[in-house]
Amino acid sequence: MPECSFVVMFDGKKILPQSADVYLMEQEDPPKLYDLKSKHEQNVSAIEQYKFFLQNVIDSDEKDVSEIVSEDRIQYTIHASKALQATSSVIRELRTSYAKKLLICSLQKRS
Amino acid sequence: MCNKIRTAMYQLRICMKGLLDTVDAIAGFCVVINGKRHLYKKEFCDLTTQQNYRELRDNLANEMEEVPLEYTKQRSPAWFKLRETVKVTGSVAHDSIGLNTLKAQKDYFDSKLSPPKRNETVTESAKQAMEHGARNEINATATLVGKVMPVYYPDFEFHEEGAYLIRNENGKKIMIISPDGTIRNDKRIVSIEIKCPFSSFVGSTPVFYEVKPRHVVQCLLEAHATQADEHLYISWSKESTTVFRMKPHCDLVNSVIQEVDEVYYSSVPVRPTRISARAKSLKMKIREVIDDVEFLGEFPSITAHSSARKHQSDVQNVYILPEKDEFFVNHAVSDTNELMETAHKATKLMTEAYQSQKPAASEVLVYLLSDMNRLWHPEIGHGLPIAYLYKGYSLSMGTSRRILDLVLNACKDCNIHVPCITFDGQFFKIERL
Repeated sequence: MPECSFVVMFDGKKILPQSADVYLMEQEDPPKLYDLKSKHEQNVSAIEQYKFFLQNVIDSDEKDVSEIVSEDRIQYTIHASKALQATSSVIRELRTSYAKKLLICSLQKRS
Repeated sequence: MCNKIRTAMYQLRICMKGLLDTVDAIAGFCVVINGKRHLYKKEFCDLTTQQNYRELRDNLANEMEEVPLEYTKQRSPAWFKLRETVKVTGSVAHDSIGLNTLKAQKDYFDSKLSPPKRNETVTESAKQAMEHGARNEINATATLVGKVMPVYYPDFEFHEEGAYLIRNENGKKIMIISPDGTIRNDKRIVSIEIKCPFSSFVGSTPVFYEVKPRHVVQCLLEAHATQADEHLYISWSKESTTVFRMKPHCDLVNSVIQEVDEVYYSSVPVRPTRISARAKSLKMKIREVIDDVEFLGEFPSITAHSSARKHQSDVQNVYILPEKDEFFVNHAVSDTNELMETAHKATKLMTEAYQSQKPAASEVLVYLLSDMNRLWHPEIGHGLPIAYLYKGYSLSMGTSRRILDLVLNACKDCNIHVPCITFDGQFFKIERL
């Protein structure tokens, strides 16, 4: 834990920054926002890799898929599977979020 | 408040629709790569002409002296009769050995072994769920053969399945397992279990996003019975279908078989009074199996329909062979530029999805600069707001410190000496200063 160079007061008493940290950490929720961000970055990265592969195909003038050579086809399948999983994973998050919101609406209606 | 949520829900729906279209486009391109564009379907799938679908013939009993169990059509009178010959089937194995609750196990035990035999009472919601499952299983199969298989299993064929027997060490038959199908090629077999969730609970998702613990034993027994190399767990809803890939677990299956054998087939079956140690250990193993499951993806669902057959089925074959599709329409994207555009849209939608999931700020954190003697002048305010930020319920210690450092350094740059920092009230409200 980094050293704090400032005086920390709590209810008029000066306390050690470290003990304030511990107190606060007990009150804190897990860093959900950070998890969300790292998941988002992973998913976008999978799509970006997929796009990079597609761009290579476009640059090589093989605009129709039937012109893609067999080695590239295997590569394509790997990238496509990852992109599929990443996109599906976002849909999963959205659906869960949607279901929660639906529940809140329903509870509000009842009350 | 409700209107705000409804607006957010509308945005989520648009985002989900866009992402499902992306999945469809990527999968369609995969299918072209696999050389199976004739198998890929958009919204409807005619199972009569679907080339990777094999349906069991209905009238096998009229042509064969004894129909093998695996070709006994499910939900036929012969199949129901077959299930009566054992005390446990795949779908109830979980409850029968106490993996749900002791009460559920006792109820099941009583229904099978305690005289007089009780009449099973099925609740209205359970009845509706069963009807929903039976009605839509064919649509889930259509989604499997028309969307999923051309991408992940292009050289496989779907086979409708009958029943499989599981015997104990002495060769006595103890369980009947009826998978919803298998997909096969020359080298590999994959068993299939289809679930069509039907929940009256408003807050549940239309499809499952993990393999439910109560379904694990059934899935693994099906993989074991069909000697499958892997198992697919499919959850269907009208809009989309999720697919999970599971590996077989021989140890877990053997434990289940032993437990069923001991509870229901001992010389004098004893009504369970506690959850057995083996069942407790199985519960933990089931959790491990779930952690090991691979999520293949969520695909747009399609609806099955069958057209009238033009040809008589081959009597030499237990399966009805598909007819030639004379109205083939290509639904798969094969233009790379078009796909690239879809991928760009996907990135945009993912960012939108991320933004929509970020929790809305619930509090404002304000930094006030104050004189050491707050009451030196009664007409001049003693706290000047110098910085603020919006926050949710959570703000990590590291982030708080970095912000505070920023504020103090800004003060220092302006030659303002800050000898101490105070906070109002409880520590968890430190940011509400």
